[in-house]
Amino acid sequence: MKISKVFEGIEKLFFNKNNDEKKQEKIKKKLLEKIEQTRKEIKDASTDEEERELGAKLYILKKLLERV
Amino acid sequence: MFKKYYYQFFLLALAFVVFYSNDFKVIITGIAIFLVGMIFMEEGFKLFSGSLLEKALQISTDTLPKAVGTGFLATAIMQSSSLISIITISFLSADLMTLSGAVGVIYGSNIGSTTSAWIVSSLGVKIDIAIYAMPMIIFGVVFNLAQNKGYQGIGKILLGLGFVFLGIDYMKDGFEVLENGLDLSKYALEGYLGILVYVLFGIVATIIMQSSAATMALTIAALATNQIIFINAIELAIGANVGTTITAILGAISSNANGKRVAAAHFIFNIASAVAMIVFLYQLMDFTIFLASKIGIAEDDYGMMLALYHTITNVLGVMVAYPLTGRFVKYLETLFIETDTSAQKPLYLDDVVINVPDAAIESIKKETIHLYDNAVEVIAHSMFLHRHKFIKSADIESVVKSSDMNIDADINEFYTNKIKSLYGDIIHYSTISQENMNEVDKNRVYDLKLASRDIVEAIKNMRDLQKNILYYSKSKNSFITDEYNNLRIYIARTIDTIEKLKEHDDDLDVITSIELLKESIKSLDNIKNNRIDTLIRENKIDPKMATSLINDSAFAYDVSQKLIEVATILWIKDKDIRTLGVEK
Repeated sequence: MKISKVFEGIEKLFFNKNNDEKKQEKIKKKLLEKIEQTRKEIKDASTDEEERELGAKLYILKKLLERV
Repeated sequence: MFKKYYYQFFLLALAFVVFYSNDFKVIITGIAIFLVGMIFMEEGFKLFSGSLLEKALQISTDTLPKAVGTGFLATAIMQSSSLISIITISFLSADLMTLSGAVGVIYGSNIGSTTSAWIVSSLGVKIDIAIYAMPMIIFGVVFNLAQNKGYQGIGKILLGLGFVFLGIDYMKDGFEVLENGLDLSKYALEGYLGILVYVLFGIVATIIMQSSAATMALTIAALATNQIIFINAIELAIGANVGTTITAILGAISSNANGKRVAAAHFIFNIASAVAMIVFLYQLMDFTIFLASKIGIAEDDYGMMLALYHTITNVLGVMVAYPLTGRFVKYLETLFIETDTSAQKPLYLDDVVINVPDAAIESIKKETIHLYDNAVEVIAHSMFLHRHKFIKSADIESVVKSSDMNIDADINEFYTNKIKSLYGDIIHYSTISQENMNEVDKNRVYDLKLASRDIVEAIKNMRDLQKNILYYSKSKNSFITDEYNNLRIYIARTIDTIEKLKEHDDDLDVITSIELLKESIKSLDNIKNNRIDTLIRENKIDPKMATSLINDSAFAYDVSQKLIEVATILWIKDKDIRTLGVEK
């Protein structure tokens, strides 16, 4: 086993930085799930006020998704 | 007077011994090199593992067996029970660990500290370890010059090990040379006098060297060269076990109640163990000799036997204390109860924590939340509202409209008593703690400092707003009274929403609530909407009222904005999600 491989392993174990892209993808996925969930909640909303509040939430979630 | 100059006396005495005796000089040099090695090893492990050790201690202490195991492993790797105690105190002070978990770590750490004796007795005195020390020091220096922090860490560990080995070799040489001129074994003492003298010597040596491992190494080196007899070596080991608690006690003096409790736990446990070891001194010694013969330790290998004795007694101590832990923890909780929790006093800024980045950040965060809570009280009172009446109220509007405008609301007095000194303490503590942090941690502390500044600025804006809130609440013009009530409603809603978002576990839910709040307070920015224009045009308010309203709307908007910024920093854990709140 080459010594460089050992150090690579150590680096991976202790110094591996979070993969930014993977993390961003995870956030995107979670936001999409929340958007879908909010859409369903809007359909099931019983009052106008509830529907308005959920609409505002949906708008914010979409805005957050654009920023990812 | 003696207390004032004891350090100078100590230096003089040390200088006298060093210049008077060449042999003692070699032993003392060995101790010094050994301690330098310990410092390098500690720094190296910190660099090498990043915050891994701290994270492991934080995560793996939720049950008592896990805490004992973690304490054992951490101490065996770091070779410093004092360091583990200090980290444990800091974590408990920052509420990152339970008291029962901390006691478990202390138990495990006591067993882990016995590994030093095994290393020294099996490697240190048997082979010429100085041969291994040289390449370790050479490669240690080379690695230490690398750019990568991981390699630097490996370098420091190698340097540390090299110096530790070299130190042991010097101690051994010193005792060997000493053997020819001075026979310390002539001063061997048995019976109660021996116990008293050698236990005390072990305590003092450990306090001076701040390391029980160094005392054990010194004892084993002396034992290997027949300078002391086995029973006196055991007494020195008992002393080292007590002396090592002093570092934790010193560290806990300036810590909060929880920190003091861990130090007390360490002290009580080690003193109780020491008393039991003294009471059963001969029985435990006989048992050690018996067990040593069974596991193949030579009958004249007193170094290994001392290591075995050290392990047996510490394991037995933990076995006896383990079932009593629940009661022990309950007793500890009755100690150091803080009755004075006046708001201006920092509750979490613990000096013990300041050098442990994760715990320091958690402490600063908690203290900033403390500052925020005080600020919410000040802001609520300056709007002539009580927090408990509007927070989580279904109808904030009615609460505001029916509020008593005669409540005591001297914002300057509140600011002086509950904010100013606490803010100063947070900034001072944060700045000092940043010295030991990496860039990521430094930035987090910087954000927390910004949050504190925003809190203070929000209060200053409220000071400007308060006069007109009171003045126009008594106005006969209902339009201007309504407008000022609106400003109070917006700020109260902001505080209420922030209180609610604290309960979310998911950062995305927190950021969504914050963004919704940002949208809702936009209407406070009166210049952008035409509400105020309509009031002026329709002559419902006079020009003086209009300018006051425009200015005060800006203040109210600013207060809400600042509180939202603070909430973003304090209650969104994920950095990437926090930055989603900033428009690109």
